Amino acid sequence: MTRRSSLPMRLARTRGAGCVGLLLLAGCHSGTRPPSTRLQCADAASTPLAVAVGARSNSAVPVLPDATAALLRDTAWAGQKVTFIRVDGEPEMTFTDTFRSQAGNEQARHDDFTAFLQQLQTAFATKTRAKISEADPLAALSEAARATPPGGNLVLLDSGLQTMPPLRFQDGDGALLEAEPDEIVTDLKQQKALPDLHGRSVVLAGLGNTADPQLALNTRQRNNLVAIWRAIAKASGARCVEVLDDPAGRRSVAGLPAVSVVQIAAPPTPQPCGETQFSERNNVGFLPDQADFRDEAAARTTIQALADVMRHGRQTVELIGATASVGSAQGRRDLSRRRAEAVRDVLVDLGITADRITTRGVGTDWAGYVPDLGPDGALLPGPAAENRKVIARLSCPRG
Amino acid sequence: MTDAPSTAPQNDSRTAGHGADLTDGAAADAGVYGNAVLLAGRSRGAYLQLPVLLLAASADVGAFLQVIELVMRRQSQRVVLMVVVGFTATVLCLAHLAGSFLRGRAVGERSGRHLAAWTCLAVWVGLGLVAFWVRLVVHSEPLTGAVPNFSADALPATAAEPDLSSVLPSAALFLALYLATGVVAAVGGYLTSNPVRAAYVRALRAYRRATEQAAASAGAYTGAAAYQRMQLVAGQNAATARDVEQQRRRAFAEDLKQYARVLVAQRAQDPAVTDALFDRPGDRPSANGSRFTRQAPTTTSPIPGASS
Repeated sequence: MTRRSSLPMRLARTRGAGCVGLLLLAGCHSGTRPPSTRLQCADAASTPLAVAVGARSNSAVPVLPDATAALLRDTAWAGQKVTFIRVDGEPEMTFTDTFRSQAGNEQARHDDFTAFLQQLQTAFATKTRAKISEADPLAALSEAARATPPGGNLVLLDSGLQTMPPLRFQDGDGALLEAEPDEIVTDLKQQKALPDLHGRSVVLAGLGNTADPQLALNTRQRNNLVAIWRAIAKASGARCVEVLDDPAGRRSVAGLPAVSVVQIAAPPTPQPCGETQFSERNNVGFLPDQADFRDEAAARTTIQALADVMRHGRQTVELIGATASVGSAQGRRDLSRRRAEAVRDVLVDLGITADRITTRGVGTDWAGYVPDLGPDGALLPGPAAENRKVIARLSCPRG
Repeated sequence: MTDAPSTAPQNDSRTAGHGADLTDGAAADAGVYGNAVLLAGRSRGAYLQLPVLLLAASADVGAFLQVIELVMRRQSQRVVLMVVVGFTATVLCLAHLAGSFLRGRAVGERSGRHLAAWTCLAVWVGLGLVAFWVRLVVHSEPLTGAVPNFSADALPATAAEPDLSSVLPSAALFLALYLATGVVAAVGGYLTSNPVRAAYVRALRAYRRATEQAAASAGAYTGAAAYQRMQLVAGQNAATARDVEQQRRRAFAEDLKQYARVLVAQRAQDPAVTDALFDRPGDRPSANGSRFTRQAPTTTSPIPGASS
């Protein structure tokens, strides 16, 4: 295939020839290419490109960000293959084509290219719509990789809330959204469910852009979702990973097969008398295998609410630490105790006297434990995230 | 030799115009083309017309290029450009010729220029209408370099055939430009066309050429004439010398003959012989103008370098 010069250069050359002595003619535009955000990762348009598009329920209407649209345009102009993958319960390639023109001059070639771009736009709008219920972006990424040789570029345009195994975000009230990305990657590796992305550049766009009836993710959940997909792409061998954070509306493409809603439980608020659970869900999350808060300021804000309740009463509180099934039983108890003590320290710092607080660590030995080990003994990231918490039991004085 | 051009061609311009271009219509040069005094130069407008025409031509090239590229899709840019330039030159030439021919008709020429003028106009209008129609039908979305919109619920807006209102303005502008440049060329042709002046310019040019040739050959001619004169003098001198030498040699020959007679007379020792030898009428005088005097022969030969 003959190598072509870049599109902007072609445009400049054509304009130079066509605008001799006259700038006011129709069709003789002197405008230059508007500055678009260039991708840091997939900036080479001289390789094939596959775009996995999640035009499905519960996910915002997919619109390619400018940078990826420019990449798609430049890839097509370079005569490289462009492929669209449909993201649904059974992702598949729905469109693939390469721009070719028999035109002998620039204007005719541009005319052909304009028609090809329209063809791409039409395919994007019509052939990427979901046909099978549920969503499997991981499989779509795998399909995209199959359609693109190493060195190519992949774009995943989806909310990222997968509802098909091995990533069922809807399980455990969205517990996976609180899970550690590394644990999810480890779990996927053990299941041999990672796609082969070796040598490909991966661009992730639209992550967290949900649509009704799927509830919107908060910033922490969105960030964790992005971290999860970034970790998956890296662990799959991607040459580089870039995440584009473009806002989108709350509307999805209408009339498409249903997708399970990922129930996102509201963060618990402390009750004057009763039990309150502090976990990643209400920003009291801990670093893996440590008793340090992931975000101390956010945790302090959450615990402040508990302190406020206690400040206006005479309750005592028992802080019970719990962990996932990682490490030995004694280690789990120690870790869970230290985490409970970390919460206690914050309460004391906020003005609650230490004699009103007791702590203990139960590890995984408590009634609310969610089994977080698979049949082969592997840690299940979602349940594990559910088990990492500190339970505050407020006891109101009798009488 | 060099002061003639300013007057001679001007004085002859009317006849030159008659002979070369104005085959009929004697009133033409006397009327519209008229004043021979004004024939010596061109007006400012005539000079202004050239850059205006060049700009108009470039505008036409720009306007035609996009259309021709779309019509001749398989042709390379260079071929398309050649076609466009050729097309532009043709339409401008047609308009210019039409203007010139109409000017000829305005001054009363009765040749076939009337028909030629309207033919040029008709062809020019026809080409313009065809170009306008093609511009209207062959529509192209300009590739501006803008990032296209890819949305899963929005079809591209230009998938359907463009309606007339979207392409008519550009096509109308194209036609207006075509008409404007054609009118510029035609008006220019009308105003600047003057066969008398053209003939005058030709005659002036020929006269200047001849003058330059004469000036260039004058030096060579002078040299050749001087050389000729020198050759002539040398020839005359040579003839004079030749005559002197001939006279001298004839005298010497006569002396030798006389000497021979003396010797013969001496040898004969006979008065009769001597008389016969010397008393003949027509005896030639000696070299010094005297008759030969009898002398005893000497031992010295009269011939220089000869021994006795």
